[in-house]
Amino acid sequence: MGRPISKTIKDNAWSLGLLLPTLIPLVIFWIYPMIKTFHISFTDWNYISPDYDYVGLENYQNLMSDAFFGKVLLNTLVFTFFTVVPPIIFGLFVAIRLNKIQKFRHFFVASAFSSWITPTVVVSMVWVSIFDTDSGIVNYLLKGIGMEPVKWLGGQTTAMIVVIIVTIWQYMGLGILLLSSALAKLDPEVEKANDLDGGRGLRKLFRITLPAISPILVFLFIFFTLNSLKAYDQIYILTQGGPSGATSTILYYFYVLAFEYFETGPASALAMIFLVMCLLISALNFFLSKLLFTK
Amino acid sequence: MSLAKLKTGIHYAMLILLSVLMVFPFLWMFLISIKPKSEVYSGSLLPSTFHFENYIRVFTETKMLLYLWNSISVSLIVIVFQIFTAIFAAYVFATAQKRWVRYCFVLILATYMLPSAVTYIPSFILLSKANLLDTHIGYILSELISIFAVFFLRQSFAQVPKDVVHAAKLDGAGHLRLIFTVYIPYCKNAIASLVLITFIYSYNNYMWPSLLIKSEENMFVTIGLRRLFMSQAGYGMDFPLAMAACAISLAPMLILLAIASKRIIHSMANLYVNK
Repeated sequence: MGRPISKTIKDNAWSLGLLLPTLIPLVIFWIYPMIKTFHISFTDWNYISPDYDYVGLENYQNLMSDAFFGKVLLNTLVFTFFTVVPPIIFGLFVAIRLNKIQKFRHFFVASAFSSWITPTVVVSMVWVSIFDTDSGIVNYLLKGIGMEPVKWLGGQTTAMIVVIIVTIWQYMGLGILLLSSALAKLDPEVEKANDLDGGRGLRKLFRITLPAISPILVFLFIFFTLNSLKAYDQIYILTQGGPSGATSTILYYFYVLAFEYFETGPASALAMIFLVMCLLISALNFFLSKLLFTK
Repeated sequence: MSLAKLKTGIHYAMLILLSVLMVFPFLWMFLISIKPKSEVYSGSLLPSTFHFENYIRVFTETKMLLYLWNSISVSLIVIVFQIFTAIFAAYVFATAQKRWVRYCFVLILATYMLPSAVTYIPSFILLSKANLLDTHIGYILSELISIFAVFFLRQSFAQVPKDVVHAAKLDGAGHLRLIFTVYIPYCKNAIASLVLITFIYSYNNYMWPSLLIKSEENMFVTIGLRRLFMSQAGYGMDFPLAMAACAISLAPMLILLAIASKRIIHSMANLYVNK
């Protein structure tokens, strides 16, 4: 136990020593690359050539006037819109039913949840087989009711529908798990309030259940939104962004620009725009939480 | 009484239907994987005879075993680094009250909210300059820390009772002894959950490793499977082989679910709910 001052120095040294294994990789693989991406976004660098010129905001301006970027942005918004709310609603529907049974509850949750913890790449391959034009079960069922087989991954709209279905299916695993465990924690209180109010059915759902689990609803909404903005794996396996760009989303376009065309400057500008979008969603999360949950 | 029973019966019937829908892709994968190739296009759902040799073909005709070994061994190494760096950092963030420590925490918090794709180009260049592209070491270096793990452990470390820590300090325990004899044993459940979550995440990770790893002997399961899948796309897909490979790639997850499904479900639920 030395004198107080040397003890403070020693404590600081210990803190720093224990933080360095985190701080060094953080700087090398997170902070430096982010600053560097910002820097590259103002250049015309193409990854291969040794030198580059500053082009100011040209990369950003080119993206803004690029019709394909507009299409990619629209695809991302459509994809996000259709993959965020449905799994929450379906998940809630299942979770409410799950909470009315005692036996095998765990088994049902586990079977639903397996969609969330299996690799997206692997399950996407299975979905390719399910929607296959000649051997898939979807077209088999369509034929059964006398309809023509559909080239699911070959059509612009149908390919997007398939990507959305696969994503909803994956999200539902997490939605069911979180919503049913949130409901299980609330149940006694909710039932009591319900008895006092005499509310039933939909009225009970909107007046008591939903407000009680609103933190988890907001969390799922934000989490799914960020995840959908970042969608890549399922698109890469199912459609490779096609047909003719119909399922290209922001991150997929980033991959193509950066790692297929080596257009490093424009790709970095795209990455910065993507970063701002994610920050906006995080800010929305912050304000929603402040608004709803501060007493 | 019988009305109540009927109601319960309907609930169970609906839930069984829903869970069949949720696990349908897995059932389909299994059904295709035991079909002979000639029956894939026959239009019948069930195979006429079971052909488990598709599974043997996965091991003899593809490098699946190597992919599995790469995935599991690299994931385990990544877990060890991520858990230990997170334990040390979380200990400091949970106990030290200094201003500079708080600034470090804010810095980490800020990075956590940013999408990792923004780092891909410079990280890729960095690894290529170090001649570490297409190596496991390069990938492991880029995955040494998990910011999420730091947050997760900081929360559980903050819940360690002050008097337990104080008693250990009176015994003359230094920082390392405090970490290894008080914090880690006290939070062993949280750490076990973190190990499971980190493994699942690392095993499933695709975009970043697929940019780095290009040669077959270094591929992870997700990357190797995609290669197998795409290499056939041109010549009429061998769906039974592909689905058998998919099924094998899910084996580590199935084993984890079989031995620790309660813990996985419990920790995943708490993970998001208590944040």
